[in-house]
Amino acid sequence: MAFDKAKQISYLLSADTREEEDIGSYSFEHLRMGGAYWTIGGLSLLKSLNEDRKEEIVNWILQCQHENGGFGGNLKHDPHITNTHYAVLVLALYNSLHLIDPDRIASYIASLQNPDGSFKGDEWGETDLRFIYCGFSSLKLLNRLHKIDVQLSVDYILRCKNFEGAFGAVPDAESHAAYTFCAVGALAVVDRLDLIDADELGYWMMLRQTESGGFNGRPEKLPDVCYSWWILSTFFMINRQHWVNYEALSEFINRAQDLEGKGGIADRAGNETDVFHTFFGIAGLSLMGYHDLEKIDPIYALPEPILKNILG
Amino acid sequence: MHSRKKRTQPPTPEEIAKEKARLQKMQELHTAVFASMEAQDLSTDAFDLTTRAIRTSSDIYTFFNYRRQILLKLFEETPEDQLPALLKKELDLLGGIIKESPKSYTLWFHRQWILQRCKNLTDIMERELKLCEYMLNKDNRNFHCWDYRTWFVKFAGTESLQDELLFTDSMILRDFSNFSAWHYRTKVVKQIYTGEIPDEFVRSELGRLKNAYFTCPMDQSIWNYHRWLLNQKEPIMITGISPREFEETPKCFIIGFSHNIKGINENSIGVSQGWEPLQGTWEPLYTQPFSYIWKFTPSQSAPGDIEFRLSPINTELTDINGHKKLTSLQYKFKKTENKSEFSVEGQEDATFFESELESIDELLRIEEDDRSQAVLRKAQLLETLSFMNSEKGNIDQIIASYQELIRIDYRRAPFYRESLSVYNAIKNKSAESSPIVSRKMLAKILGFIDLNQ
Ligand SMILES: [Zn+2]
Repeated sequence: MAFDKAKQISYLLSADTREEEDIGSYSFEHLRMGGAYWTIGGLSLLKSLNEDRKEEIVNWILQCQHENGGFGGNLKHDPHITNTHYAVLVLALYNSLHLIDPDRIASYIASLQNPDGSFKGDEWGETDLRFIYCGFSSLKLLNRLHKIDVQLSVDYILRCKNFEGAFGAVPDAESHAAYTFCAVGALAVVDRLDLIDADELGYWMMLRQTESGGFNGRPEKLPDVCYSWWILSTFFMINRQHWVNYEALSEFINRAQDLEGKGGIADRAGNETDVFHTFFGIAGLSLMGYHDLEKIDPIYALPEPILKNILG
Repeated sequence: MHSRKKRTQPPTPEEIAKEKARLQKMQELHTAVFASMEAQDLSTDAFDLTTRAIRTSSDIYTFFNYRRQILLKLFEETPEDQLPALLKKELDLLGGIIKESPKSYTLWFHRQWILQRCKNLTDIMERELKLCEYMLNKDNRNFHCWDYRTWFVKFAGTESLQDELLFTDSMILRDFSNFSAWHYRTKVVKQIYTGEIPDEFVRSELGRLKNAYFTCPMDQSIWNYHRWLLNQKEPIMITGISPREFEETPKCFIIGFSHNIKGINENSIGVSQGWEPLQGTWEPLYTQPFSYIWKFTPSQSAPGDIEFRLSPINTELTDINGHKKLTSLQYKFKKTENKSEFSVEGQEDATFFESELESIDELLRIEEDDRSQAVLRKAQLLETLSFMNSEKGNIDQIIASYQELIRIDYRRAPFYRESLSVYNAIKNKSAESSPIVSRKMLAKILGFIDLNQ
């Protein structure tokens, strides 16, 4: 099955105006900041992001910021580190980081670092590796990593590492590919990839590629398009991507497209599509260098030219 | 967003109307909650509103935050003796919603938050473990529930480790393929045996595993645990030496190890040239502090033949997963005009590895189709045996195993090919042209490659 670029562009362009998106599912209102990132990021990789709605969306993002510097998932929703990270990413995609005060955001993020080095998602205290990645990535993009104790968090990340070289959500938790991305991504942001065993981790991830070509996130689980990003990007970070069968993986992603209906990519063939899997499917194809897509950076999940602008 | 089957037919007008009505109702509820939030209403009416909201929208963290604000006020106002009832009511409510939305981060976190406020945990213990058991019976890989259980057992601190081990027994027996249970078992075992795991335990685990892999030979969960278990019995060994650099100044040579280790120094491994002790410094190559490949630079160059002996002194080193035994094998490297020779003296206790190799061979003799995972494990055991200086560690068999894997598991051929080229190099005592990226693999063929390339 071929990758239908035009179909994916039109799917993403109409992502937040399509009425049927909510039919038979549930409300995504609290995920709007993430939704904005997946949609706009996807369009950017498809080289089809224009400025038509830039002002509207940037203004909306700015309105989602709270007194304490953090961003909510939508208007009225409480601030959270994941949504703060998404807000930073979307503003980066629109070349609009200059519109926010980096110190305000940095002090919000720094306030979420726990004494053991882990990060809380918000003031209420939920903790796992996702939040360290969000914190590290945002602070690096804002050039404010010095506001936190990096070493403390690095030590915490290593406590989540298992024998396989992969990482679980918290210390002692089972290895999971998405958390492994968060751990390795965070270590890559602060240039500490020397602390992991690329060969052991690469071996574990190599075993994640299933008969269908797609990756699963843990042993003996079903494959899912989003791991095309979590795992393949991690492979790139540790320089073992040559152990992946690109052809089989890209076929798996292509088969998960909805070509007859509204477009988009699902978690796997035969399922309902959504912007989350559409973005991660396209991101995986971009890493593999297919279809003349914009190159995505494996650590920050931003298009390379945009990232180069920010980090130099 | 996950596992939602695509509709085969577009929704009927009735379905659309029904869904619209549902969304309308939800919208109204959300609007009411936000309005009451804005008014900073912490009344029982507001509390009831959040009860409805978290029931219908269990992923919206903002509603839980608001609810916790109200709860904090309630805790203050409630007399001490009525607090347990209030907390129990909250746990009851959550139990119901968790059964509907077993993968909601916010729900599981809220439950943790409530439990941290419960005083008498012994009363709650049984009920929490029951909930976990119920949830894991419905989905035995739900990592939210596993992580919650792990957290709770540590938090409550009363469950015995033996009981936890029995719990994983029962989960594994119900489904061999449940890696979550195998994983949890690795953590429990490491807590029970903080030092070396006794042979007796390893033997009984291998019995359990044999039963499992003869039943489900393709199951990665089983082989993954198998690899973890035997790794506990595998010492750090030397896998190769490169003397090339010794002919240049400053003289040095490069040593490969079976594990990713740190902190080697003169007290770990003694070096001698012929029988003359050599002083010098050790440093990790490529990566640090952990590396598979280390460089030894003698402090003064001794003239004479290139003939080195490496003798482990210390019994313990640190690899990337913690403390690990260092081998007691002795290594000799000798280079003459046109021949270099790397030899190992002594033998490690390879009993477990040899008997497992036999078991896997037995499986492979009867299994014609579902072979790849067992063949891969066989190749790994053969590799370890060859480092252990066991005569069972046959290089030709390793090569044959990777050749078979390339045929029967072609998806992973790139990895197998890299492994194969390593063993071809060992067999032919010269490296092929294809570059080896893996440091772990590179550490095995140091004698045949030019590291400067
Ligand atoms: Zn997914």
